[in-house]
Amino acid sequence: MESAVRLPILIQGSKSTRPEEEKMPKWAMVIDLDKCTGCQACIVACKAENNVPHGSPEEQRRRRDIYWNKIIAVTRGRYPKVQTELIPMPCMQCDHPPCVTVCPARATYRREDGIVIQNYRRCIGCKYCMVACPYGARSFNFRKQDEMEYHRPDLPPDPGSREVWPFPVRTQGVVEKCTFCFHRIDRGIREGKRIGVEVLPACVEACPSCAMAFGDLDDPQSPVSIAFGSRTAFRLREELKTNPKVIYLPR
Amino acid sequence: MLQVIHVLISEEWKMSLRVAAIAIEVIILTAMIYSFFLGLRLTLSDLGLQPKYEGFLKLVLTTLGIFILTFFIAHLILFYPGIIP
Amino acid sequence: MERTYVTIEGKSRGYYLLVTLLGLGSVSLLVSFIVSYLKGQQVWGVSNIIPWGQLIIFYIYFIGLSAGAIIISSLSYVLKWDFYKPITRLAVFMGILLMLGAMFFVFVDLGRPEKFWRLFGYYFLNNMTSMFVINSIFYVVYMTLMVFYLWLIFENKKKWAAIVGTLDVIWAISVHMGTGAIFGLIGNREIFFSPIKPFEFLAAALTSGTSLIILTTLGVFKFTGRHIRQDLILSLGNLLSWLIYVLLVLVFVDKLTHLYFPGREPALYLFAGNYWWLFWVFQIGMGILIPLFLLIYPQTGRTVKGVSFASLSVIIGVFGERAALVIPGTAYPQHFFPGFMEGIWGKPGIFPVTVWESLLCLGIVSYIALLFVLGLKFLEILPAQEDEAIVAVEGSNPLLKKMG
Repeated sequence: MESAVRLPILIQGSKSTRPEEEKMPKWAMVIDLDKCTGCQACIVACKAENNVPHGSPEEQRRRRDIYWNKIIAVTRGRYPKVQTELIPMPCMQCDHPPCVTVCPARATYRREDGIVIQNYRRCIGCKYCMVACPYGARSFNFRKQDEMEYHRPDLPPDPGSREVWPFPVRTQGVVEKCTFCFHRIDRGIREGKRIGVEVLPACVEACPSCAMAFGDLDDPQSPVSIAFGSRTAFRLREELKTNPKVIYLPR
Repeated sequence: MLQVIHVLISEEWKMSLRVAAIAIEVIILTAMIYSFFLGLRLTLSDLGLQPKYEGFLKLVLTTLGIFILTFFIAHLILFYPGIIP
Repeated sequence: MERTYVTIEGKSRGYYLLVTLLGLGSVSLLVSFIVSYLKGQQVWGVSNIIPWGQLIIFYIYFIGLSAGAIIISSLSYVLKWDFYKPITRLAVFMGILLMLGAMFFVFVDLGRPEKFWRLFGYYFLNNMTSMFVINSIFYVVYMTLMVFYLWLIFENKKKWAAIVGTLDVIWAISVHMGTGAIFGLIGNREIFFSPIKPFEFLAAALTSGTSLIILTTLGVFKFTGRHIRQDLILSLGNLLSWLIYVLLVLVFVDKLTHLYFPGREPALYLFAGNYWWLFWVFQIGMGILIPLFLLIYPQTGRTVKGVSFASLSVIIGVFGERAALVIPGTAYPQHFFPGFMEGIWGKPGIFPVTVWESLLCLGIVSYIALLFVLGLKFLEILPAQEDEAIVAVEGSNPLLKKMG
């Protein structure tokens, strides 16, 4: 239902530069909860990479701060026999996304490689997708965000010479969410790099304990397939049958 | 060309130019909305709408026109592109 | 027998005062809209946890009132019960204005309202699986049908009015069931998710629409010094009591289902969480129990005063019912992983009532009321002063219980 209309692939030059690839990759992420320490480096890296605003304390109190990736802590049991799980939750990029079903303006749609794209130009800000998302992955822009530049010494100082990046802040009144850093993936494919090894989303790259793996789930040699096969894996809220592509390895 | 003018004109000129531009824009908007709704009313009465309905129709369209005008002004205030990119 | 309909003079001081007050309310609509638009939706009470606030509550409430008013107005033209003829024009006119109000509410709630036209680019620009789009089709046709229906009534084309009226009633039912489906089809929000949400919405629409008709008729007729027959109001009160029974059954079945396995926590949160009062005090208390008792008990149910109190209670109670769906439905924290979620993710959302949002809602309500009051002056909606033109009708009124 979510891909009722087959939209043309939007990766520039992907088909022409790699003619041997007949089918699209299926990007997925595997997060090893045993290695995750809850340090939130992935959250900070995501905000720096995608120009996501910090959010003032007032916004955090009113729960209007924008977050593309979040970490939740779930406890079971009572002290001293307590189990705590720290679970990073980016957008799950579901195979059957409820948000795509309910978006009236077709501003969110699922690309062929599995990434659910949010088109800010089409979004009318009705917030139906926020209600329908089972993972709370979406945030609304409640006000005009300031053009905050995070200090990035690795970037050329002149904004004109950068390609896609840094992202401008999104206008007020639209919904935004994690994109699996598809700008990095698309540029990596164009330049012929190996996705999952050389080119990673910002959160995966920043994790100090290498708890996250990213890659093509259909490729048996990719880091994500290797991680996926290492032990029993689970996904969040599987009973809703959204087929999320962020897979967790338990502790 | 615009960049050259922007640099050469002093601040007071820019201010009054801006005010004039805003006034002209609002006048154009009002005129467009007014003529659209007037055309709607005239079309309806040409198509045979009884005169007894015209008073209410005029009222509803006028109030709608005011709302639309306010919306457009608010939208332009928020999203007006800068003259120099 | 032909009844004549007239405009009201509208020159009394009370009238001018009313128009001025409502005009000021409409100005507050403009002001609060400008403030909300320029500063962004941060000035409202909505958040990432409760994305839909007062505006959406009013939106579904007004669609319910409109659909209810149209269905009640159908009693005279479609079912051919001439008894209700005096109030038909009023009901249809109110239906149109309430629908217009609902469209205002949803337009203003959008983050980027100027892009709303995308919903109407059917099959090319929008997503036909979305309930918003399906509803937009319903609303456009509904609005057209209602205006056409009212025009036919004004032109006294009775046969055509009956045909268009039947279509309009069927369409009104679909419209409000579609609005219910916006909520009922969302699988991850357990308080929303229910296949009988469309029917619950329809029942709530019927009760609130009937109550609004009762109150408006009483208010308008008294304010303009017209005589309204007691048994008209009492029969509407009787109808209202039956509609409240239906609503009670539907709400009961829905909540009972949610209390069974799987997953009782969302229903328990609705009953005992931080918004319990929306459910118990407003939806159940004022929306169902108090009016039902008032209407069943003969000493109050057979008086116009009792019926009007019951109607007032239903109006407020059904508004609380809409609120008890929208706010706790999204405030209930989604459980991503079994266990106790620490910190802010495990806590239910809080929806503060903010000034600008309330002013915006009241502004739109006053604008619709202003259009209604001015419509009474410019259009022939009310029956003429001498209401003795209501002579004996063929057959008895099927809705009125035998008195005495």
